[in-house]
Amino acid sequence: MDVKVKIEDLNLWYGANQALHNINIDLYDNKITALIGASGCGKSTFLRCLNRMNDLVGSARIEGNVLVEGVDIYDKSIDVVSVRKRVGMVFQQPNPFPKSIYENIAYAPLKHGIVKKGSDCDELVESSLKSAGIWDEVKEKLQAPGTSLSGGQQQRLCIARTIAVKPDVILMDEPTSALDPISTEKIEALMLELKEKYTIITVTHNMQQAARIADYTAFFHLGELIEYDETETIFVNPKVKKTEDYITGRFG
Amino acid sequence: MLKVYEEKLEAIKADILEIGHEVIDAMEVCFRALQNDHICDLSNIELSEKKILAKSNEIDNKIIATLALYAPEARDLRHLVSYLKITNELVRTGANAKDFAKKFKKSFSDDLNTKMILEYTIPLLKSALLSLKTALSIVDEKNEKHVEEKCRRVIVEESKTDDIFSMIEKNILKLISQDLDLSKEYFDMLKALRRLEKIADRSVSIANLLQYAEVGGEIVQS
Amino acid sequence: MSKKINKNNNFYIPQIEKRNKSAKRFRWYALSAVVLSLSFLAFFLFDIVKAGIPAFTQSYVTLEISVDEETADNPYGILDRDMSRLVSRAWLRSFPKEIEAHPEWIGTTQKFSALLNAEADQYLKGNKNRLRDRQIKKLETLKEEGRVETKFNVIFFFTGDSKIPENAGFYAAIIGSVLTMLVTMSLAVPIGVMTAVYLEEFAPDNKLTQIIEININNLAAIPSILFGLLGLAIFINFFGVPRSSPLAGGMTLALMSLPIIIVSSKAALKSVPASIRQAGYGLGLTKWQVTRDHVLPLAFPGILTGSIIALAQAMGETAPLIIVGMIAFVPDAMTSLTSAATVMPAQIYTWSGMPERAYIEKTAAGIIVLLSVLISLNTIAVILRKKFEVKW
Repeated sequence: MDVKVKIEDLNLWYGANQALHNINIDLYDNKITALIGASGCGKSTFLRCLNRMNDLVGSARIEGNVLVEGVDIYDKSIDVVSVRKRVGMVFQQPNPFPKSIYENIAYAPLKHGIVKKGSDCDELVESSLKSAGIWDEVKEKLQAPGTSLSGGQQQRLCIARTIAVKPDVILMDEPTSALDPISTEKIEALMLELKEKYTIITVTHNMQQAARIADYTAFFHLGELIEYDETETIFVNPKVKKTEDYITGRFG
Repeated sequence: MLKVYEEKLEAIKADILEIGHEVIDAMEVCFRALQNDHICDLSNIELSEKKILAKSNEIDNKIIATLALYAPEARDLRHLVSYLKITNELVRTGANAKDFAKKFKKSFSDDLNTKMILEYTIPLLKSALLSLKTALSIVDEKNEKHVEEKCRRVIVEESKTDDIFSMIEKNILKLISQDLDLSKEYFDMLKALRRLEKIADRSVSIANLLQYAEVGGEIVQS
Repeated sequence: MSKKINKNNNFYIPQIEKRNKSAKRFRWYALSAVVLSLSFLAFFLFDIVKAGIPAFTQSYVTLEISVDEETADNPYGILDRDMSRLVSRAWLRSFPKEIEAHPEWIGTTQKFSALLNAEADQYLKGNKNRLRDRQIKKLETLKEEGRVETKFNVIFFFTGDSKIPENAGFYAAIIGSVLTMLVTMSLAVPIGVMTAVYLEEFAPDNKLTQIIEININNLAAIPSILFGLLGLAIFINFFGVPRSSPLAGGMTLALMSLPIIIVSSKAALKSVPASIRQAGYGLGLTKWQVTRDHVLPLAFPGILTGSIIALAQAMGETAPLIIVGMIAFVPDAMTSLTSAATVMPAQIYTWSGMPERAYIEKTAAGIIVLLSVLISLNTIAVILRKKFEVKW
């Protein structure tokens, strides 16, 4: 099992508040790792460190290393734009661009120079939509606006858009919390398929979702990593009492 | 339904059937041995209690993991809980079968009225075997009516074993009163035969649990 | 009409009647305030329209004139004394040019529709005038002969200002306004939008940015006449931009419009949800790519509306332009940015100060034209905003 992302001694401050305390964790390739914990425990903050989205928050200050395939993404010589191309992100609220479905998928790859306009681009759009399991539903209406789809379809469109730039790691920040149970199920099945090709790190406030699909689960509490292990261990035999209290619903 | 969840359920079902078939195979060896009058063949049963126990523990842990990770409901929940109890029954059934083979072979000798014994043992074994087989066949049964029908059949077979056993019990007690020197052997024989009756009882338990799993209602220990 | 309230159930509240009455009273207060303000507006509009409508018609008299060399040389001598007191000097002045354009008239007698002068026109419209009794009698005779007619006043729309009232038109002012607005918009919109984009998307969130934003908001509250002085001091005296030109006026108005455009563009940019930007950054796009291709298109309707409203406001500004000198007397409309020009509000101001009575109706007519332009601009702004609104 290869380590895809290695986090060493990660600390983060928002202004004077320390939001993450000494996080050390290895995230494995082609696996789904779920980050669970109560609200405000820092799991989303941690996730956003992995693709430097916290750089956009002026008051955020980071110490420590985040190594993606051995390269520290916070190194001065690395361009933040190239980091985000290799570490993609899907957000909680589906946020397709207010353009056509085709343009939603094609825009970023064209800008990154992955494909040229024309049949290459068409193929990429088709394969991305197929990988996201939404091709059959939209192949007749690629020029329709992305916002005309239902919530679950929009989220799958956003996943297709993220896949289109050919990332290595996909970060998902509570990808199904805004969706109905049927759409949630579809996206969970999709995540299980996607892990064959990508490494998926997902934040979820729904423990049962982590139990269903994640290979590894990390439990965060008040900015600290309390326990990180195989999901079956966490949910049947957690080693730390705090983890067990959270899992059994005795707090949070 | 997530694929991994479905796969896990199927795997557990297959494991239960595996243990069950091991016990059934052992009992069939016994049956053939008695039918062909080769009592020594009774030692040929390849039933390792340790192995069955280990397998049963493995299944139990798998069931617990599945309950923890997938929070099954309704039919799936009933099935998993039934399987959890059935593993116990199957382990005991395996022990019963082994005990029967050991004790029967040990206490069988030409001093006893082997004709009468075999006359009753063979149908008793047949009934026990049939009840276990039928009970286990409910695992793969999807049709509710067939499930209930099979359950009834198991109960019928079990009451048959009850009858046969009480008859042979009466006969053996009579033989004992006629020849007190052989009382130990006869009592041992009775103990062995009682194991077969237990197997039928457990089959009824298994059948009831499987019926509960498929049809619903409440678990009722019989 | 008050509904009967059933007091015999759990839903009855004792104070409900008083509360309903007080709510009703409040509604009446609000309604009467609206009615009052609307009635002021109605009164003003009614007054202006009544005063201005006559300006859209002009009186003409049909004359028979024999055209020859003499008439071409001395147009003022064609008519007898009474007639020459009634016919417009401007028309007579332009007569030789007409003859030049139609040489076939020479040696013939032609019928002409001659423009009557302002006093005659005012008399025919029933206003105070300075005609003598003789001229009035002559005019009445002409009327009885059926040689007097009123036509639509094209002169008003196609001629510049003139000292001869019947020949004064709004054309130069319209052209001047258009040119000034072109200068204003081509300066203010790009600079304003770029500033808004920088402040909203790129500027770091520190004290310096806050100071800049506060100052921009304050600029919007500065009295407009001060911008005129600014324009005079800097553009005209320091940079040497020609006085009274649309260039000077446009640059001054651009400064005035900048705060409005910046503030409305910033609001439009702010209204684009952060989720769009987040999605863009998450895909590895640069800030400029996100701003140009995703944020600006969505903010475009708001920016457009803000610009049109700023344009409409600038069109009605008078004080700063007066300081810059755009109150010049402009008889012929120039289409150059550097020659002297006037704008609509300035023209209205000039006319309102003229002694001749004919200018009163022209002032009102000018106001009507200006108001129509402003209202249509604002309406276009609303329509465009609705049309381009991208549905989420």
